[in-house]
Amino acid sequence: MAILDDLKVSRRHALKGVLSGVGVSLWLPVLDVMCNENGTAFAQGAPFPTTFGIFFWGNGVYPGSQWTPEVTGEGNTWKLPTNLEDFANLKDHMTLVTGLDMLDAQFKGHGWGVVYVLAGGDGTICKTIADIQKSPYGSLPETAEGTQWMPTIDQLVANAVHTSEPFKSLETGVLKYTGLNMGTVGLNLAHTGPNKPLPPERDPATLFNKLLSAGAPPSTGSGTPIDVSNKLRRSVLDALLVEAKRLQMRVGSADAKRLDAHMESIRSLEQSIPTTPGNTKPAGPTCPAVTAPTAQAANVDLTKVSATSAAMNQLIASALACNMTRVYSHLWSGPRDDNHYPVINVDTEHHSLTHSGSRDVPRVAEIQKYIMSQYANLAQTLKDTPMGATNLLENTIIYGISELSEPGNHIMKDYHVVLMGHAGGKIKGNRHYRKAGRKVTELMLTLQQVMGMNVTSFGTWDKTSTTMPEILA
Amino acid sequence: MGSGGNGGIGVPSQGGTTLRLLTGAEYLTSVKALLGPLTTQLVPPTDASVAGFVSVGAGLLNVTSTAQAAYEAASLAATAEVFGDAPRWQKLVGCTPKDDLGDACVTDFIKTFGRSAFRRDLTDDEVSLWLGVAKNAAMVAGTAAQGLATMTSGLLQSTNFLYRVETNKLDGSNGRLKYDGLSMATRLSYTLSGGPPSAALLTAATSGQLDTADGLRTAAAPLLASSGVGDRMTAFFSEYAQAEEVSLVVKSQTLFPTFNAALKSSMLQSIQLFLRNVVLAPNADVRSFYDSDQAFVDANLAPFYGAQAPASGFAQVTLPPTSGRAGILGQAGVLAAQSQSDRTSPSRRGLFITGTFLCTTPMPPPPGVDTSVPPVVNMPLTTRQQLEATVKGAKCAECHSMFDPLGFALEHFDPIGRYRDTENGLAIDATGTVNGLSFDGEAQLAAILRQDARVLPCLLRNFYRHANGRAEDDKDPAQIDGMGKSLAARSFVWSSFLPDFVASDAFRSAPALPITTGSP
Repeated sequence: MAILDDLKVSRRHALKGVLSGVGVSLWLPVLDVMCNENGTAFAQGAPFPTTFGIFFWGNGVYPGSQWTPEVTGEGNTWKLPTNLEDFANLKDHMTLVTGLDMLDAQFKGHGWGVVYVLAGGDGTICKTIADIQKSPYGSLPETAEGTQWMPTIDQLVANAVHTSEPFKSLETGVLKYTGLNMGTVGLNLAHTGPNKPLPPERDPATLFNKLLSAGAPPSTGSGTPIDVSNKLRRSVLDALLVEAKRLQMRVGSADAKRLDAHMESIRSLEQSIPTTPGNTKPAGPTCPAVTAPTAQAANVDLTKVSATSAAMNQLIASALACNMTRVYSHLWSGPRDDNHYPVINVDTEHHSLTHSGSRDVPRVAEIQKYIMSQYANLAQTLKDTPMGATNLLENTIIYGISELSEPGNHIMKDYHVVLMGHAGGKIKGNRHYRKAGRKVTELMLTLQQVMGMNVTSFGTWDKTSTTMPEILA
Repeated sequence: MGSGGNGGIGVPSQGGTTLRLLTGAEYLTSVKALLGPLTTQLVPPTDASVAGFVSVGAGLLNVTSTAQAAYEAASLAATAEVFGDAPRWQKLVGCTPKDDLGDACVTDFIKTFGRSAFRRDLTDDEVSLWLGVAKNAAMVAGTAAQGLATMTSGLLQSTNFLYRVETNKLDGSNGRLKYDGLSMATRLSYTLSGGPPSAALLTAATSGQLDTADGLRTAAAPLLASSGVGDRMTAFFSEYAQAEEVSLVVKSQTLFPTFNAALKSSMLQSIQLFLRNVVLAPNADVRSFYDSDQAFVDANLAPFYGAQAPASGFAQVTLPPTSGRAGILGQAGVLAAQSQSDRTSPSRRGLFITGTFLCTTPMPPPPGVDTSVPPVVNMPLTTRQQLEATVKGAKCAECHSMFDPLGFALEHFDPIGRYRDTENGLAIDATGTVNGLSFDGEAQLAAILRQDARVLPCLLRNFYRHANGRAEDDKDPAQIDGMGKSLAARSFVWSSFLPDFVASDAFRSAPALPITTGSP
């Protein structure tokens, strides 16, 4: 009997195989026949999706020789600065934007910075010290027990571009935040609203399982054929919507909005269930086999953080290649992060070092260079993952940003933004654009338009309708 | 803020219904209470801590598509295990129905199981909705077991199960919003045991018993006598002291090669044993949290505390005065969690004490202050000397004087919580004053904190947050005041205070806050 049962190979059995280290496809790949002749779009003429990513790291940059190329321009006219040297093979895909300011370009703090560069600020608190008093929690340092008060840019993009992918957005990270309480922004990048963070996954094995369970849906019972399971799942999700709608009639407006979000999640899950046997949702042009990662979460062993980082980067690439999401955000480290970096023999915490005087600038710079090498690894992994005749990096744009410019004095002047990818040809790349006094919100507005969004102004601090056509192709 | 904490203009709320998502721990306990023990490992969505507690986050978090997928996967895995085993599910359901599920016992099962899952009786519409799901599934899959499994997995993903639904209305006698009986059954049960209300407690709720303070006391008695309350209160004090931080911190392996996962785990267990067996012991004064001379050591921790290692496991020891340690701040795990990787930080430790135990948080450095540290002169200094030299200017000292001295008291303990007499060859200076009272070292600070008038109100304010699942508002201090009086009247014994608390307005009602329009 046991043998007979084993022969009925359900998806569930396949999952067990994967967990023992056998690679399988996360999602049915699109065969070559589904692409057009040149492999640059789907055969039906629909272009490959342009994806939007964020790579965020805490504690800023050092404007100057380590970070700022001496000349601006395109192609060979500009050279990578020291801290971006690991992008040598990726320079063609880089658009480095420097010189941007926040508000009056004066002292602010990590909390203000992260609210600004991820959500364009907000209209109520954090603009000045006195404004913090308006927080419902009373007097607080920076955003401790605070939060993003507007949706972060990745969520704005996700709202606009999500269709039927299993994940409306994918949140990942590497270093678990450590240091002074920064409220929800320390541990989380993506927010749909105040105190509504979308926690990132930092453990490669858990992320792998999450992607796998979305690609190969959970069985409803051993031996149940997959198409029957899928029918049963849909019937349950339909009933859940009925119940949620009824519950919504009874609650106040804040909870009604939460239930709206919950129902949207149920619908999104339902849309990811294949409707016909053997024919799953449209996938990316190639959906590579992935092996269960062996790397552990970074906080288990910081000396092995490079392996954790590489594993996460590979899984992000797999999720994009398999068309599981169009929006991803990767939180290398939170704003004001205080992790240390034994992997490069820096045993003092990142944030503390930024405030310990000029003698420690070289050590902070080493940390920054290391973080950039991991960003370069993400970009390289995307470039190495084919998408038709091109690759994932061609079809994405990554907003690489930190909450500050120079960290020692929290000066909100001369932000350095490292954009990677050609956004499906909309961004030319291999360019250093610098213009003092322009605002980060102008770039954020431009990125939303690149993603096809019909928006003409952005930001609550530095609200703007000015874009940056200079970086476009 | 969800609770309308922004204040603002508007009429006071007349009450209504609010939602609190089950925390990860509550979800797991609830599923097991409904289905019995499971061997399949279930992975609920990640909690978010807001205002210091995941229970506050649970009142604000949205269920994302990732979270919904996790709920689905967990409910399918759990029901696949139970309904894959005929004797097991037949016991749960109470009968062996025909394949079309037309039997009356199926409807009975939906009613009883649904009542436990939703923590109230199902409406007729709900019964027929889920009976429809079950019958359809049985037909599509061809078996009764699959029909029941599918329906059960649905109940475990229902918003009525995943959210604690709490309803209150204006009570004219005190102007507060009083929770109804079923809401109180759920609040009592999750607060005291971490799990869902029993059938008997739900019956007590519908009979009106939970509408009075005396009725609540009677209903709470079995919960208070169960072992779950010890787990639950240990978890609260542990979350309050940020004890779990110790499992997340990483130390310089050059300086502290012994600080590994096993040691971190010993430190966390030691704190939890201290909380459960000392602070929360029967008849114990809860203020022992601050200054007790008791601790728990195993072989890993015995050298830290200058104690004899027990033959196995943990042993309770009385700390000698020479240890310099007392109470929660003397716990190696707390000291390690509140230190940097390669050095102590008196500012950080001081901020932890003021923020956590005194409920005051100073402002960040004002605009224009140069926060970079001046170069260190070429001579050995203690951490304290370096810090004092850096912040001696009036602009810095104004705030640093509020918290650095409290951190200095802990300077006898290194970044992993070991005692030291010297640093860089120089004697440690752990003296200081708080509110005009002098101390030398952590144990003396602990004795002062125990007497500080700010300390217990701060603890109770945090318990109020934790139990009610929301940050307190400007209408709440009177309630927190009342809790303080009640705790004192019970000789500061936490287990004697709990029945008073659950029967008090602080737990039975919420403030009637103004309804603001356009608040997030």
